[in-house]
Amino acid sequence: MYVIADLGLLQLLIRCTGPDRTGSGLLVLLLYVLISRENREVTRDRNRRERELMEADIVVSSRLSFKKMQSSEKYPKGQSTRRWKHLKQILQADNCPPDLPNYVNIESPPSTQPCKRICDVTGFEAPYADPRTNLRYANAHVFKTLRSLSPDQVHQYLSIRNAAVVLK
Amino acid sequence: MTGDDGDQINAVGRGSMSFVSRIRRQTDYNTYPPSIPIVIDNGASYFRIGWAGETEPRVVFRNIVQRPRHKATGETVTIVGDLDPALMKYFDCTRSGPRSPFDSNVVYQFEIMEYILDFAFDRLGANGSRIDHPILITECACNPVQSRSKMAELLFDTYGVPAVAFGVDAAFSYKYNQLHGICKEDGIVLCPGFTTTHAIPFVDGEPVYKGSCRTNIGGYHVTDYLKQLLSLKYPFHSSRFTWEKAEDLKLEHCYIAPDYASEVRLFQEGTKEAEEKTRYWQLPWIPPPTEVPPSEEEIARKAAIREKQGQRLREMAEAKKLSKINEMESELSSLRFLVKQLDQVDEDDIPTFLSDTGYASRQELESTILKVTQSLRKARGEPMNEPSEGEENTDSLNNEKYPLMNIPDDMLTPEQLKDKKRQMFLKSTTEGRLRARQKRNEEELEKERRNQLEEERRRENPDFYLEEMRAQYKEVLERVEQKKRLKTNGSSNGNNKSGGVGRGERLSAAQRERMRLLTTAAFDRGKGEDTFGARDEDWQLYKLMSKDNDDDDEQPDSDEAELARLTSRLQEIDPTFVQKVEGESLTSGEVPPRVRQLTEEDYKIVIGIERFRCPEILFHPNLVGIEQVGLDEMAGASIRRLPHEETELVEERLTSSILMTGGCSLLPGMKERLECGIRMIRPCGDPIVVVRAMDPVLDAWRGASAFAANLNFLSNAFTKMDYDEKGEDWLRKYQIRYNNL
Repeated sequence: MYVIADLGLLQLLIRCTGPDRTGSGLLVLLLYVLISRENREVTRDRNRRERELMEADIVVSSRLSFKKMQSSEKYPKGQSTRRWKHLKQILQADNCPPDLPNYVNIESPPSTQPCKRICDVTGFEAPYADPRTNLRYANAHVFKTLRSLSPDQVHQYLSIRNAAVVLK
Repeated sequence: MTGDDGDQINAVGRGSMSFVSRIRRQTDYNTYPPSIPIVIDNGASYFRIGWAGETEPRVVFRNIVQRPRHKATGETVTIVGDLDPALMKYFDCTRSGPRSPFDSNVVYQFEIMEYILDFAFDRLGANGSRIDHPILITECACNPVQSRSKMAELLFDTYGVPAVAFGVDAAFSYKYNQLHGICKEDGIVLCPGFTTTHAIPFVDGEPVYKGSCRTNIGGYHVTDYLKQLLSLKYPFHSSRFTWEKAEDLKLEHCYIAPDYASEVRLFQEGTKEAEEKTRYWQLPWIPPPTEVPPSEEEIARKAAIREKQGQRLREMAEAKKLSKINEMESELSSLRFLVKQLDQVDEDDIPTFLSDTGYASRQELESTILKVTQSLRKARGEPMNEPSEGEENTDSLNNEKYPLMNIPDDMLTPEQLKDKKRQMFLKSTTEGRLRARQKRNEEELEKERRNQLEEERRRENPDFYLEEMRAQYKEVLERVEQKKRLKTNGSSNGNNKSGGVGRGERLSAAQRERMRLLTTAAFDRGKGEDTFGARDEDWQLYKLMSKDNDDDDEQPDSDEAELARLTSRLQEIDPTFVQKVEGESLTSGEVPPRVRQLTEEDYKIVIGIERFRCPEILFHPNLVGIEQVGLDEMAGASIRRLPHEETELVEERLTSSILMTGGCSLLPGMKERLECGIRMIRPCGDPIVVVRAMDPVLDAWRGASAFAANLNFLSNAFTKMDYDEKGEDWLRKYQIRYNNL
């Protein structure tokens, strides 16, 4: 942008240094000098920033000496990275003898103690539940705020507790 | 912020330097001979790498990768670990969120793992043609063999590592603490980690995996819970609560209450202790420029203007009414004139005479006159005489039209019977209409009476009555507005946490429940026929659904009717009342504007109960919907699962040496809570000793480092040849023996 402005101004300057326009010509010359100075500053800034980035050295370089095959060759760009199996699939494909402890075996059992019921909004003990939305609340005051929640918020409160009805 | 030696320090937490990221490139790689192993603690939160035998890992960083595009060059670069936000402006991060190689606590994304290992080895100073040191790397307990083998492949094939050993981080931590006398040879290690929590018993110095158990809850879930609670409590500031900020808050302020119920009661009753425990976070807030309160003159002037406006409106209404009456009167007079003219004209000339005016016959003319007179009377406000006239008509009609009614059936012919039926039908309908009219009259009388009562009340005490009306109006208006707002309020605050498809969010919970019932009933399991209606109970579905329907729709109508009535009443009697147009604020008298100004209070985030409600999920995972045991019960479950020979003695020894390790065990109050909890599930009098590891975060790495420094390390590791020859089954059974430590 600045370069174009420069050229334009240069043309204007040439045209202005004709016979009767010395005054405006001087003005244009002044503008030209100012803009070019700014230009230089901008490029200096940019260089400084790039150097800063390089000094921070946060980027992993793409060629590392100790690797037998570089990652850019191993995973060529554009190939879908969705070919990794998620944990669920790994566990399904894993056919391990059931008597030995394995990842699935050692899952904890569900709790035998009675479930603790706390109010969804405030965190107090909540002996009551709202029949319309299934949220738990502690007293009448909280109930009033419950009824004024938007369906969005209700859904979010329930999904924290994993109790939201999800339509697929 | 940067420390003096150029390290990027992101230190948080209660004075402990455990969460520091250190990524300065090390320079002494070549001083280590190839026999010295490299030790890696590959955790879901942080990745630590260093040399065996040392006490501190050399390089520590957060185990995530981002691949943004460099703005200037356009190429995709890889950045590992925590980012300095100041440098982020060079990159276009729109399509690259932070990605982790972990799914729960198992590594599954080996491309990302490779980037991380690249970065780690690079910072360690590696510069040969391969990594020429044996590697000890940690994994989760009972890691699936696929993950293990892929990791081994990665290390052998890409980095050329000579030997690899896998170990469990919790076990290393326990052995390290045992070495230092913190815990004994038999015991249990409880490790609440980042995404999972493990309880592993140790018998004779070796972990017994058969007795271990794992709950899928960890520090990540605690932070997530805190973030969601705060976002819901302060939807206006929800953009402020990023995951990193929530993590900082958790590390600063969260603690574990010794007993949740009693702690909550303190807050519920608003005691002084609760006040002390509440923390406030003041967001930056600039008060808006205060408006100068309008002077007396201003107020008087505005009141006068409003009065004039009201007056003008009423005048306009009056004028309109008058003009309408005049119009109708003129029409009536012209019609009457027409009728009079008709009287003068002969019978036969009527059609031609009337064809100009547009009326077909005399009757039509007369009926039009009647209608206009009626509407005129209504406009003038005179009571209508129509009902009584109608009644007379029907009486006479009755006697005229139903001659056959009174004659009994057997004396009539079939045709006459048909006639009689028709007459009966007509009679019943007209009687019905009569009855309806009577009821309407009664209602009108009632309304008149009520209005008179209200008028009396008004005359007695005009101001008070006016105030009452105004208050009622405001209330009902608020209610109606709120309902409208609820109906149309989408995700106006940018809540992007809502799950489910778009349609599901806009429905209320009741509607969604109904849809769920419908979809489950209609779901075709593909077994062939749809047997929905075969059993009688199926149809009860509709009963369930319709009940909810009735509940919702009743209320809004009554509110809106109330609002209309109040509006009209106020318009009549209140000289300064101007009806509220939707969207504008109420302007009657000196009532303050509807939206109150945001005060400093609104920008203060109160973190009271959340301080101990969030870590509570470690002990009660069903608070977030995970149906598993919490920390304290895990110890019991683990003991129960042990294959036992000498049961009682082993159990006592186990509970007398319980070690807490892992990042989450830094939360204050955990030790006391665990002791209480475990005491509840063990037989009375059992010795219960719970200790915290010396450094819960770094001890895993230190234990691994001590293990690797041992001379017998290589006998526990396996080489590429071993891996190739022995195959997957052997790898499945591969375990290191920890007792060398």
